[in-house]
Amino acid sequence: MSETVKRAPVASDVPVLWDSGALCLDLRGIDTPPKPLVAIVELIERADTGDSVRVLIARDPINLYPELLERGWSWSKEFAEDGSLRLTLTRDVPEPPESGR
Amino acid sequence: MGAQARLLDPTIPYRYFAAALGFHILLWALIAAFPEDAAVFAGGSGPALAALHSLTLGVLTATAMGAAFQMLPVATGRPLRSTRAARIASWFFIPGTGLLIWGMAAGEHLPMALGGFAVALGLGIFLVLISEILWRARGFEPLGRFGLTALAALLVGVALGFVLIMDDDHGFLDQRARTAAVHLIVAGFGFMGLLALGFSHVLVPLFALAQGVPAGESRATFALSALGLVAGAAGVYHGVWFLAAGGAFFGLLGAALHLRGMARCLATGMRKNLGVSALLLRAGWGFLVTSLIVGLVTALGFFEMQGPRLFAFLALFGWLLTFLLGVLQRILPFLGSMNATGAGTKPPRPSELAPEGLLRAHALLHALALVLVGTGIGMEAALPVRLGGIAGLLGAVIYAGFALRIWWLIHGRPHATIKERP
Repeated sequence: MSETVKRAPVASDVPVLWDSGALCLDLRGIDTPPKPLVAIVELIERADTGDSVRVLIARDPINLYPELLERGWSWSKEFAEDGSLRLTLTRDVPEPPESGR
Repeated sequence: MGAQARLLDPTIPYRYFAAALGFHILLWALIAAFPEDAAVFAGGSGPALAALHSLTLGVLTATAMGAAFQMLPVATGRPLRSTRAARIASWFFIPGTGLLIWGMAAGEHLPMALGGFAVALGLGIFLVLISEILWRARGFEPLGRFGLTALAALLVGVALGFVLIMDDDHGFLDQRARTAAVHLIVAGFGFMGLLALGFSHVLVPLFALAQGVPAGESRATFALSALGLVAGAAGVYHGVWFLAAGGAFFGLLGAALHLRGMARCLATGMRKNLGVSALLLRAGWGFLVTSLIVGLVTALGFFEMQGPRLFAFLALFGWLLTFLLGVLQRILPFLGSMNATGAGTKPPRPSELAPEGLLRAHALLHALALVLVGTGIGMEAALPVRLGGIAGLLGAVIYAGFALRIWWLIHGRPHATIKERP
């Protein structure tokens, strides 16, 4: 069950929620492109967001994945019975520097 | 709708984009090879008419078809009713455009008529498929309003084009030159122009990662642009020049409002550096305003024959082609990365697919081509047109190389040169 946390909204009016130990966005009611994309990117670009974000969204945000790649985030998808999608976004762990040989 | 279901089979948009890249090379080659035709073009078949349609149908319309088939289902969540029909449309449209251009260049009626018929069939299929998506997605106001009106303009533009082809052989039109001018205005500003304005409502905020344009502002832009289009076309056809000037004036107001919204998107978006594509977008918008000012001044009687020629050149080459190349420059790497995402492996980042040096070289040559050809048309001199055509041709080859490189990195040799990511 998601609950509201004291964070500034993203994309001007999308509330940031808390769900199972990670920040979460419920974008299922937002159908105007590119607002869902802007909301997600704004959240993951915030310095205090942490390494994991959950997103509930009505449609697969195909445009989002190249943006995640650019920012070093990975994703996994889980489809709900109502056709909506639960995305788990995870910040990639930086590669350790190669030891000099 | 399933995860990858809305991501169209990439061969559908790519075939239209590949055709556009080929016709882009052809149009500059025709200008470079026959500069005297372009410098004093006043209508009628020949290499200049062929180059013009290589741009309007071959580059602008083909790209619009590929982008619409790809983008609209993703943006609206309404799938394309038939991907088979989108393929069939390409079988008519792409060879039909080639045949039409050949007929125009050679001044031969039969290939012109057959090519025109095939183009009309392809565009008819496109029109049905896209209007059906836009109708189901009427809630997406800007896309629906601009898109459906653009498709209505396409219908009128194609009908007028076909009448002009028939008149070329039978000579039944009393006002051929005015009919041709209305065909240019309706197809250029009505179909391509309104489509560009409508798509910009989604694409520019997407590129800049910004909030969209407010609904009221978008409605006002549409009303002014549509009013300008109708007044401009009616004024030109009936020879009522103050009405045509009024059309250009309303068009200018609509353009100013649109550009204010676009500038706000770019200024407030999270992505501040849009690279070379932002330069092309901004230059295209500058040419939109310039073309309407030239149209206004021409309607008021301040130019002779150079006026209409410059107006057409600034609108089609300056605004629409420059803007489209800027858009395509961002879409192609993004699309490549999106399509690779579905392959089950970690795809390349869009920035890895867009080498800045290549894009800068293209933008420089494109700008040089516009300045030289524009100067040649203004002075009715063939030499600057030829030099501009050569610069444009080199730029077009570089642009095709940029697109082929993306295709090669995604599909030709996957994972060979792309840095593996954890």
